[in-house]
Amino acid sequence: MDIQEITIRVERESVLLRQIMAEIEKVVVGQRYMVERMLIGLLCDGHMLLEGLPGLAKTTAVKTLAAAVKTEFQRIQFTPDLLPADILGTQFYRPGSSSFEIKKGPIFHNIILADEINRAPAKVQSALLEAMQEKQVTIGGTTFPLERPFLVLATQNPIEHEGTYPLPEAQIDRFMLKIKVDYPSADEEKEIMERVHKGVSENVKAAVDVSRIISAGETVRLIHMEDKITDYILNLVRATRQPGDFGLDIAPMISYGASPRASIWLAMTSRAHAFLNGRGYVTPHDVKSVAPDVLRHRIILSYEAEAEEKSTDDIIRILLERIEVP
Amino acid sequence: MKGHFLSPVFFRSLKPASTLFSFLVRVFFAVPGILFLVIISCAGTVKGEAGGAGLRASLDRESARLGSTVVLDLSYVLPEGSELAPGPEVKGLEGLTVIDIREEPGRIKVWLLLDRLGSWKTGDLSLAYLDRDGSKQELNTEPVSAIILSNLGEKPEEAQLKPLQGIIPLNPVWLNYLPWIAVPAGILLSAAGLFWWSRRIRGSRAYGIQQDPPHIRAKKQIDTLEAEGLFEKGYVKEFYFRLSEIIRRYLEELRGFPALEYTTQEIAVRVDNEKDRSLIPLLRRIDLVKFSDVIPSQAVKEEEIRMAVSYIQETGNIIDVQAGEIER
Repeated sequence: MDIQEITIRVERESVLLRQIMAEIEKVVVGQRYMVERMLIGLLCDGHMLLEGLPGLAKTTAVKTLAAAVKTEFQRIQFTPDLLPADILGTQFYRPGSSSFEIKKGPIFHNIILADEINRAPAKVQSALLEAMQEKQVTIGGTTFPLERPFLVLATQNPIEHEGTYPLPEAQIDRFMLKIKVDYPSADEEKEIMERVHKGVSENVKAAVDVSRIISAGETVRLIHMEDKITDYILNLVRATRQPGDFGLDIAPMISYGASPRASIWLAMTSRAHAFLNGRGYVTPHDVKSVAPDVLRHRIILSYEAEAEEKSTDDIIRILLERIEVP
Repeated sequence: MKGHFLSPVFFRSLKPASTLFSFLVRVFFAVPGILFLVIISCAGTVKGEAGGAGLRASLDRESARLGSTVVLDLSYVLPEGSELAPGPEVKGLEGLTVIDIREEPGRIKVWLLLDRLGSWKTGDLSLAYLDRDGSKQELNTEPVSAIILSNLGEKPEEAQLKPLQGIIPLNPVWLNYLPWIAVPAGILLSAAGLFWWSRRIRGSRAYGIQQDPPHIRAKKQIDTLEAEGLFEKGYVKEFYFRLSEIIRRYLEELRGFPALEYTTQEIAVRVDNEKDRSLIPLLRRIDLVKFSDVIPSQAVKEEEIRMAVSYIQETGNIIDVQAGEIER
């Protein structure tokens, strides 16, 4: 299939996503960036970690996304007393039939909202993240594959650390994107106020069928990526490991660079970004657009960087500004 | 063989007439011998006083190093019925540093510190005693002296003093390493100087080459690109990647932002004048060839080259005018 054909297919299928976006925008004011990234996650079958202060419509956006796509949605509120079985499911004894039966947990849904994931202890986080990686769950010796699309959107609050269990770096790497949810603009906030005041509650229509989302995901994989773009992605990721090789003097700020998962997801999400823009090929702009979300949680800063109050976003900004685009 | 002349064999060998002679010979040899023995024995005894009493002083060494100790041995013989004055009371040690005094039967040992260079001598030594009537008397003897050697060797004036922090001034530590630092530093400076000089020579040559203003250089690069005939040979993407690089580099030099690191969208956001904005559609079309599979026709390619050259020339004229104004 040549790029022309792919572009036509992309243009046709990306209309669906615009429909989903329109449905979400009925309920969520602003936060277009977050909504776009959620759609990228849906297309790439990659999980996302949403980080933002309370009240920024993280949960509402995820709920609305699930409603706009005809999928099964489940919200799990993570608490310190949560157990792995509460998520995955368990075997229980049924006295009537003198047999064990399996009760599947809330993870057996298409879109999972793991609200405040860092409030549950490590064993629960681990159970969820393992299921996210393997896309299957084993209960009482029986393995159950999770149905596609399977998308976990986890939220966490960056300011509260009391009584939380921070996700280990190895587990956080399993999230395709880490999205920072920011405050709405003044105009957006004004509109939110008006909507709340008027008590407007829009009904979200299920705009798209799951099978069409899966089909769109397959189209994303067909999107053409020029070799020079692949090299650019590699340069960006490798520059997080050996900045000196790229003439960057940020090595003392980085303890560990991004893993190969970063290269894989950066290529994949760049394709999805091109898809959302109705293109059958990837441009450097697609890579630059998604790079912060892919790399943000995969770069481990050094003490020097933390002492200088540098964030991974600062490092990524330097990479994107200094590495030549093809 | 008559044996030794003092031996009985010798004397027996003499005739009776010579008995007197032999006696005289014996006396002649024996008396000086006895006298010698008496003198020797007297020399080892205390200085004679009335009734055999006396005091003799000696040092355990004739010479010693400064800071060491010597032992003054005072041997005495008191007159009958006398006793040593309590103390004991030794005179002649005034001004010397006495470390210890120990009393033994018939002698007193005094430990003295040799704490001055040059001559070290006691005064006239005397030891007080109480005679049988209880009155205080003294035994006297002559002073003793020792040669004090310097710790700085046989020629102290030529000795090199070792520095001692706070006592004898030290040389700064870095002075010890100065030669080791100075030599490599000199070599490094020379090498750096040579490097700088060679760079300057090369730089001036390169400057000579890059004297062309950016628009002339960009135009020349486009001419070279076209002359290579990459497009005609089928290397369409390669041709457009090079064209894009020339345009971006020119834009970077013209407007001072890193256009090579910017995507077309970022350039579109960055440029703020009409002339530059006219370049954006061209860059988008170039992107289409670079990242998609669009292959433009020869005519389209020539039109795009013409647009690029036109932009470069028009903006170059502005550079020329500005340069002329600066020169004026």
